[in-house]
Formats: sequence, structure tokens, C-alpha cells
Amino acid sequence: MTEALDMNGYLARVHDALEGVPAGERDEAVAELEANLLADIVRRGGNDAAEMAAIADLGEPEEYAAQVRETIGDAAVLPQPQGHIFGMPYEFRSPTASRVMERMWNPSDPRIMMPRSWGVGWTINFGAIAVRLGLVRPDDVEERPFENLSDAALRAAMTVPIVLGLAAAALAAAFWTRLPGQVPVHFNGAGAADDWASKPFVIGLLVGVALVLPLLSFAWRTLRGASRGTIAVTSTMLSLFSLLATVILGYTIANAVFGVEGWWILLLILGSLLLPATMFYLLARASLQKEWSAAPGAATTRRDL
Amino acid sequence: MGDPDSRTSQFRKGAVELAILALLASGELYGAEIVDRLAVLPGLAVTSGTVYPLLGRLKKAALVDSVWRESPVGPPRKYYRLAVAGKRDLAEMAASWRDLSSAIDLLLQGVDTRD
Repeated sequence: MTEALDMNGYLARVHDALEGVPAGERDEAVAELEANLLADIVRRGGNDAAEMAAIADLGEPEEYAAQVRETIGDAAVLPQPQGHIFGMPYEFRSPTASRVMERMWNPSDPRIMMPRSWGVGWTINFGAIAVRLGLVRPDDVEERPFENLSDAALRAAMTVPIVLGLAAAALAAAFWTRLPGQVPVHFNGAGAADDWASKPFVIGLLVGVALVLPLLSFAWRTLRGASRGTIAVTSTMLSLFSLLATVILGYTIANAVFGVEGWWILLLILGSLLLPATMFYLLARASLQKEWSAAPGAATTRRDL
Repeated sequence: MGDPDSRTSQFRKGAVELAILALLASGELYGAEIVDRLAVLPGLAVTSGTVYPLLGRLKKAALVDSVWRESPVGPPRKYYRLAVAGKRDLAEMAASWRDLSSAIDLLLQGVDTRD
């Protein structure tokens, strides 16, 4: 090393040398290094000499950055789309909870529009929105947010889609006899029905999405011993599906039985996004708070995961 | 391509990953502790400059978790521990490492390395 760098100087050089790496990855790599370096410096005595020695062991900042680049080089690590079609990202690898999470709840990535975790187009990174609203910090994601959720919080999250599904089933049962044999299956921009299909098919499909899908999904996740993070993300996504199915079912019934129609249904559907957004936020916060409160009592809170 | 040093460092990196997972199997450690424990093994030839980026990678791959713990001196330290997937991975990697190394050892027995 030609000149002695202090820790901040070293971190800045590593950060510079990581130019081109996605911002979230870059910040995270530097934050990781800072945490490890700080602990090392304190352990070595915490003085200037300790700082210099710890930094000398790391090698040149550019070399360190090259190591980081190498380790984050593989595709699974970066929330990048699998490819582009007509300028739109696509992704047809089977979705995993961690991929859904890094796209839909990724405070460390400033992009609000992320490549979808499955399909063509974009999805919303609620984590980036929460950062902009000042609700969480970009580095809050670092500690795998949903993994510290309490059983009660997870149960509450799983209850949401089930309750919505039960509401949909109750609604369908209550109005079954009053619905005609053919019910609306598609609406135009003004909210008027423009396509119809058989009642058992339409109602069955909507109740299936609202109630049966979450039940089957939770049963499957439980059998496979899914992680807390997976269950939290699954609950959130299923809540969105259940709410959408319930809203559409309600509108279908209102339209077919009472002749209600209006463009405002679009607002209701868009508004449904608030539910998963709120759930993501509450779950991430609950998990982080749990982690922070657990931090000081190292020996007593150590658990075998 | 023909540089034996760079090829050695390639397979050493994979080995260091396995070594980190093996270390964490017996309990959580913070970054500098991991470096210390590995640095005493001369064959691995690691420095903090190789270990920290690998820790970042293992964390990204969800093989290890990290938690902040209060330290008796100074600010909280970031501790690393094996995640569920890491335990599974360690078992698999350990088995294939043993197979691989005994196979290579067998082959190398016949090679005269002194010329």
C-alpha cells in the first residue's frame, strides 16, 4: 500500500471500485465490510495502529472489490430479470420466496419498479416505497427481515387470506340461488359486463382463488417445513389474491343481482394493493423489532434455527 | 490460464466456503473470529480480504444468517451462523469433498511432483 488509508478512506475506495454493481448490492457489500472491519479494529485494541493493521490484512481496496464482484457474479444473487422481450423484463424460472422477497420487499434496492418474479413486465418493490416514505432504512433488509417473526405474527398473517376466503365463500353461498345461470366474467372500462360464463365455473373459480388456494398453499408449506420468510411472503401474496377474488366476486354479485356498475371498480382493484403493501410493512417491522430487542441478550436468545 | 497460482486460488475459494460453513456448524462467530480460526490453517491461506466477501455471498445465498450482538468492548458485532439451507449444504458439500479428495489423492499418488 503506497499510502496509509483509514477505515472510511478504505470503504470509500471499495465503494468506488464497485461501480456498476447494482446500488443495493454495492451498499450492502460495503456495509458488510464496515461491520466486520469495525469488530476487527476494536478487537485489536481500537487504536490507530489496530485500524491500520486490520486494513492492511484486507489487501488493496480494488482487490477487495474484485473479490466482491466475483462473489456476487452469479445470477441467483442479483435481482435481475432472466431476459428482455420488447424492452420488458421476463422471468420464467419457478418463483421462490426469496426471489419474490428481493423484488417485492427489497428496501436496499432503490428501484420501485422491479422485474416480476414470474412472468413478463414489472412488479412493485414495496420496500423501496417504504424507504422513500421514511418508514424503513435501506439497510433494514440486511438481516433477512421476515425470519424473526413471532408465531403470533405469522399466524395473524396466515389468517388474513383465510378470513377473506371465508368471506368470499359466505358471499357466494348467500347469493347462490339469486344468481342467474350465466354470470359476468369480464367488464369493460366503465364497469359494465361484456362477457358471461356459467355460474358454477365463475363462482367456483373465484372462491377457489380466495379460499382453497390459501388453504392448499399453507398445507403444502407446512408439510415442507417452509421458513418463516417464505410463509410471510406467501401469506402476503395470498392475501392479495384472496382480496382481489373477493372484491371481484362482490362486484360480480352486485352487478348480476342488483345491476350495480361503475368505473370505480378499477379503483377498488388498485386499492387492493394497499393490503399486501401494509402487510409487507407490518411484518418487516415486527421482525426487525424482534431482532433488535433480541440483540443484547446474546446467550439467552441463541436458538437453533 | 497457465498460471498455477490463479488456478489454485480458484479451488481454494470453494474450499474456504466449505471451511466457513464447517466452522459455523459448531456455533456462531463474528467475521474476525472466522478469519482467525482459518488463518491458523496454513493450507487455506486466507485473509480477511477473502473471507468477508465470501461471508457476504453465503449470506446472499441464504446459507448463513447474521445477527447483531452486544460486545463486551465497543459497538455491537455482527455474528454469522448457519442457516437451515447452510446445514443441508454443508452435509452435501462435505460428502462430495471427501469423495473428490480421496479420488484426487489416489490419482496423485502415481504422480512424481519432484521433477
